[in-house]
Amino acid sequence: MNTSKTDTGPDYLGPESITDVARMVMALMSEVWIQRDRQIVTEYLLETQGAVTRQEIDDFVPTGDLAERIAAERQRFANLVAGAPIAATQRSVSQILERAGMDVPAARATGT
Amino acid sequence: MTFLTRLDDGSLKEGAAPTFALSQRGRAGLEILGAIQTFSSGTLRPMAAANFEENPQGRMLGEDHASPTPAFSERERIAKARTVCEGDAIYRLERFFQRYVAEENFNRGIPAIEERRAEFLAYDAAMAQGSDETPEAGSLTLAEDLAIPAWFAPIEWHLEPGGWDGYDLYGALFAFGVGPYVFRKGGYAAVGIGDDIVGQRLKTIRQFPKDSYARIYEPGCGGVSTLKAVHSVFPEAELHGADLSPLLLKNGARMAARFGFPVHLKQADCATDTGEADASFDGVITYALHHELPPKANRALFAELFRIMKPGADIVISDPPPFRAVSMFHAVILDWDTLHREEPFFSPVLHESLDAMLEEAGFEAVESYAIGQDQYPWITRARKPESTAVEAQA
Repeated sequence: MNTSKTDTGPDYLGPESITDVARMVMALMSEVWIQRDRQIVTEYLLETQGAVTRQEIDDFVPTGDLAERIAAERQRFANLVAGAPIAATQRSVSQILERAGMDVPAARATGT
Repeated sequence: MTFLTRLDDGSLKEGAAPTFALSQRGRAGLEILGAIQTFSSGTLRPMAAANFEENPQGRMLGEDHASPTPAFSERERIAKARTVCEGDAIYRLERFFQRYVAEENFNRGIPAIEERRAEFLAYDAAMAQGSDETPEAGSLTLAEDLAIPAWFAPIEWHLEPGGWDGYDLYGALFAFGVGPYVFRKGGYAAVGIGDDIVGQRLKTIRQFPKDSYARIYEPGCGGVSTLKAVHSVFPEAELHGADLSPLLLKNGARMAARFGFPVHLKQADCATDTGEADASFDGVITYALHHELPPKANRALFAELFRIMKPGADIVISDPPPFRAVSMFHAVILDWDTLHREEPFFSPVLHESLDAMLEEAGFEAVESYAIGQDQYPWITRARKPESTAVEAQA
């Protein structure tokens, strides 16, 4: 174990573990998305049916407009989380709006 | 070699059984993988390509790669270009996401389909009962004593645990999980971002030069996705396919019966003996097959295919493009699959020329060209001469 002293205490993992940490972050990202998707499905079923069971949520497959709305939200979520490293340098107005899944107004895009 | 086609796609007959689906957790867990892959190949990869082009060493290697008289060998160029790429944090991030998605397709996909095993088996049985297929029109011949080639047995293709035959529900996993939620987005291996892999298959079949074919053969037919496309373009053709994997063949036979087209499937090592008669086929199709065989086995396969083809018969091939046909940066991307997505023969084959192999086997009118973005699908087609030298002397 690499326990060399640093300003913040012993370094238990070492720099070679950065990929392992990234895998943990990605696993958490997926778990958060699965919950987010479930929330959208639950809200939709409550709005359209008034009541919902766990089984109905488990078996529900989004179609049509709802599927498109979830797909857009999912891609925005993935862009923001997986794209966090490039957000430090890709900081023009249009890049920020694109990452957020939003239209880029022509007037703002000229300010890049 | 292809995966099982989705059972309930648009070509199913009216009144088919209801769609089978994964649970909310299974579906959402795979869908987010598709979104990560889309971001990786659609946003990060172009950034990494631009960084490579801006790097003086990268630019020099790109020019050398395009030169008719390069200073470096292809292997040297790719090795040097890989070093340039790996110095870029964006490239490393993009490749990490690609590897992560490839791993998670199974880490997440297997539990997602296993959770629905009972529902899938019930759905599958209902589909079989509800169809008016005529299975007697096709056939499935398995060879339990077949000698599996040493190069094939230990490989977990595309990081698939246990290989093609490693899990009985792999067909369902691809049909209802990884296929629609991840692969359909494109942006992995040689498949371009947003590409329609079903449409690519149909486009490939249309590269056959004649209007009709009586008998068509496909080595490495897997789950009959390509033969299904062949049937849609040449409905009059009698279809034959072979594969090393009994699981893929069993799935393929079920799918063909269900979709209502007869196929004759046989477990065989096509590189050594297809078990078919001399000069018995008018056309041969191969799809995403050759990069999964070592070059030596490809040469043997072409010799065997030449034997079973009639004089004047056509062969059409779709496989990833050779390194010489793509940009320096894209060559690094393709080469990466060899070590990182369990494709041990990917680079050895892409360094070679299928055109030259076909000519060595005796084919004529050999030509190759791209019909999609990033030179994929890459088509190679050729014809068996009307009369061979041996026949001409007889």
